[in-house]
Amino acid sequence: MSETIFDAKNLTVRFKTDQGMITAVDNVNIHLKKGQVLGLLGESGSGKSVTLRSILRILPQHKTEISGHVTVGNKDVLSLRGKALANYRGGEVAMIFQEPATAFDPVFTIGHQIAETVVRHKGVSRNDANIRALEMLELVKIPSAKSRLGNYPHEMSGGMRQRAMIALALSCSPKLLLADEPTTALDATVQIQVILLLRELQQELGMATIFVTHDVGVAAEISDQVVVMYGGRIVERGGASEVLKTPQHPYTNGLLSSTVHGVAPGSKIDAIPGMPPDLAAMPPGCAFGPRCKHAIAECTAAVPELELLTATHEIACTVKPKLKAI
Amino acid sequence: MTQIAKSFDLPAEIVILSRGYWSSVLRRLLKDKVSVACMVVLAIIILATIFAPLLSLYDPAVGTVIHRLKPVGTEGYLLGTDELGRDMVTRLLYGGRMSLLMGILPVLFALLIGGTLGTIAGYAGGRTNAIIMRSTDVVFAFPSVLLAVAIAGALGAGFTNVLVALTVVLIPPVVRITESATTQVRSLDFVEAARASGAGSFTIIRVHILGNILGPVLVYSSSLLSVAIIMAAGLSFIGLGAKPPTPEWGLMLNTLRGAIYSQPLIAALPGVLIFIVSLSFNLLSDGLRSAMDVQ
Amino acid sequence: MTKLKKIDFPTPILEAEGLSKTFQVRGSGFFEKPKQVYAVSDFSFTLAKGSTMGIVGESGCGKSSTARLLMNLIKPDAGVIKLEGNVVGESRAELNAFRRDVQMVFQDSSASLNPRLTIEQSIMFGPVVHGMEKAVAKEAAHAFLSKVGLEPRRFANRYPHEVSGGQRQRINIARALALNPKVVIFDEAVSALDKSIEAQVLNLLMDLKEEFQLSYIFISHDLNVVRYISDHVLVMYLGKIIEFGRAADVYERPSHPYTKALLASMPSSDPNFRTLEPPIVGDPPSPIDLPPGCGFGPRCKFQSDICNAQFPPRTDLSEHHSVACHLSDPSSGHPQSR
Repeated sequence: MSETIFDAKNLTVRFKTDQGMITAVDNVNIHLKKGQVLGLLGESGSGKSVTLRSILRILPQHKTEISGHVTVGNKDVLSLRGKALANYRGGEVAMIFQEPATAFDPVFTIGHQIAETVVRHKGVSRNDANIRALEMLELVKIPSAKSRLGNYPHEMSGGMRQRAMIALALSCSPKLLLADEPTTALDATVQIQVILLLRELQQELGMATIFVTHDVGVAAEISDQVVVMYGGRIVERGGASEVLKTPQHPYTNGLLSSTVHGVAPGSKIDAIPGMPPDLAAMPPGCAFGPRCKHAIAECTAAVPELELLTATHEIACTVKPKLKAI
Repeated sequence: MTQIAKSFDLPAEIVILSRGYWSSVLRRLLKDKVSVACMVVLAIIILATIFAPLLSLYDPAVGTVIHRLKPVGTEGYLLGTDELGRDMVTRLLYGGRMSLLMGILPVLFALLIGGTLGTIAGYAGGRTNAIIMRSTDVVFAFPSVLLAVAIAGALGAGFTNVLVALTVVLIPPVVRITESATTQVRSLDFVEAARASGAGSFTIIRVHILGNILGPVLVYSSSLLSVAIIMAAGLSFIGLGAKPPTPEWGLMLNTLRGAIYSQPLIAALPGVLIFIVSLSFNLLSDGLRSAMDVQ
Repeated sequence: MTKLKKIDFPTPILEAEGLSKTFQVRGSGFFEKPKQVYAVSDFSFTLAKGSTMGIVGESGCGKSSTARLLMNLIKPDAGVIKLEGNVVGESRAELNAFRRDVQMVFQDSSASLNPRLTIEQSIMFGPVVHGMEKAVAKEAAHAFLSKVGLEPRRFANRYPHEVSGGQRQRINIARALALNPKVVIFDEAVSALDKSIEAQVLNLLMDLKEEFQLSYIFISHDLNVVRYISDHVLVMYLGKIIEFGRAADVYERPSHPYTKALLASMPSSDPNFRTLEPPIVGDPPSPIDLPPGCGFGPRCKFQSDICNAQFPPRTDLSEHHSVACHLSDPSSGHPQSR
């Protein structure tokens, strides 16, 4: 019986902007057990990155309003302050970012930065921390790990830096790993290596993972469960096969059909018309309504709730058209 | 021509008012209370010095020794008189003209000369850049105040010589900031696109580079103004600037030194004005920078 | 160096022969000699009129340098470019004429348009430089805005920060078209866009190509997009072409071990059939101080002595498919060559 590692109920994140309050994440519920990988799929403005940052509590405080209930293990995340919050970040929850070059401090070596984190969170001696840093670099399969400890970030290639960032994130054995498009900036041959590495590590260490991506292929390779976000709301959730091969929400279906993969060269791509919604001026009712070919009048009446279609597959759609498998 | 693609964007009712960059900068600047206060103060001072003949009742060069060093608030002399019996209000107003000109003009000249050199260096790169920048570095290596004193000293006292000295001293920092801004802008995609459309260097500099470097250069120059005012006053103080009986704040500080124990308030007045003007330019420069920061 | 054997194409519009470019980079120590970055070596190809040539490769392969060489934005150390059969010289007039005929669309970024100019001013810039009158250029700019699906009434007077990424890319396309070019080079033009917007822009590009009789060179790291849009595909590695042919041939019957590995690296879209092993280990090498012979040797499963000795000559696998690999060359002396 797997224990629940992560539970978010009614997570809502709003920002103060020049145009007033905008809701970047609207009433999101996520539940993760130990060892599960959740793929969070969405485009710009969908709220996926904001969700991740709100879990780690790294959004700018004076501009942000987070409400709802979020627990990691049995800690209430949203009420953490000061020292408890600092212990939480990097300790129980760790994050890896898209751009490894900017995630590291350029004036310290990789080894130093990893060891520093270990000392901070585990309270062990410098020596022990250095041993741990070496362990971590070997775990992420960096060749000649011992000499790499003394490398500065700029001395490593993109793929190596990304591995080093993973090492840094895992150095304190977090319960939950947050990954924000970690492979988007990498070359194809490096990307697949990093994805496989993450999958392997995740299986070995058993942490729950939320993996944010806009790439369907990447989501397919790594997720157990997939959640699709649009306009700050979850529009579809289910097992990876269910959502990626038999999507039921018109947006997911449109997204998957409009990818170039599999389209006969030369023929028109079935693109979703229009643009993602402006969070400052959301359309009434369903956020996808204006672009949806199945939309009816009722779609503008209210924001649709998530409803189960099968035991594990749910969508937020008023119309629920019967869509064919991809 | 038939339209191929459907227009995918906002419904017709929503029209966005496009605001140019500079008007939005001005808007943000006007929202900042400190900047507005500085602008008002500077405007008052500058206008007052321009209209000096209308605002003052006396001749700045003429004084009656009987009335020397009258305190502030004396009948007929609002801010008292100086050591030769000349009305302080008049002296300060006329003096302001000199002081402000000696501070502002060098910055303008430095902008013109240094800006051109810096843009050329930044755009051309390579050897040209090296020649211009290393020459600039040589001048920059001298401490600015000492260099100004040396040049003014060599040329002799006087208004034009101070202008020359200060301009020379201010050119290197302007060259540096312009070159750095130009180099940054030059590497952006739209400049490459402009080159790709066959435009010549001067066209590209005029249309694409200048507008984009104006921001940081302007901010830096406005902070240079505050430095220049003080340096001009300083040069006059040690006798290398305006010649007596010409009123000038720095010079007045010098001549009023003797009165510092008998009439400290009057002795301090020119210094207070130098301080206010310099500070206002400095704060305004900060405000300008914040106004330009947010896109 | 052997050249690519000329395959019969209808009407070549843009050709490159033996283009090479090497950059100097300062050595790391104070006394170290400057290092050579072999960005592009012996690049030769032919673009047929009305077709799309896709160029794929990873970091350090030289595709961006190639784009700039083809645009004459940087001068090659060796080689020539021919437009419609005529060698493009270095005179001002020739370059200017070339500029009208070959244009480029850059990757979308906030720096692809001058933030101080309005959209219409950005589009008008090119035509005005070439002598068009301002009023006429303005009309033309509006016409092109409509062509790319943006209403001039609403977009002409906006500033770049007031439009979205997809719209900006359409504007970049309009800017490139405003000069009525014959060839358009796309350098990662859709890479930064959301997938759904990317689809719209690709559809637009196909339509424009037909209407304006354009020829495209499409550079991208996204293998799916290149497959979709290209007639021919060129694979680059460390500045050299290692495989070339019709898109279908290269994607379905890749010959070079690197091409195979690259294609196999695409993530599987089926969660039930996941990739189990990375096709290739390690990072793409940097073009500084190249490995001798075939640059791919150190990472290749089939590396042998001949591979380190010399860069493989081009082998024609069929009329429409060539590869530079000792494995495919029966006369190379490679123990496993067929």
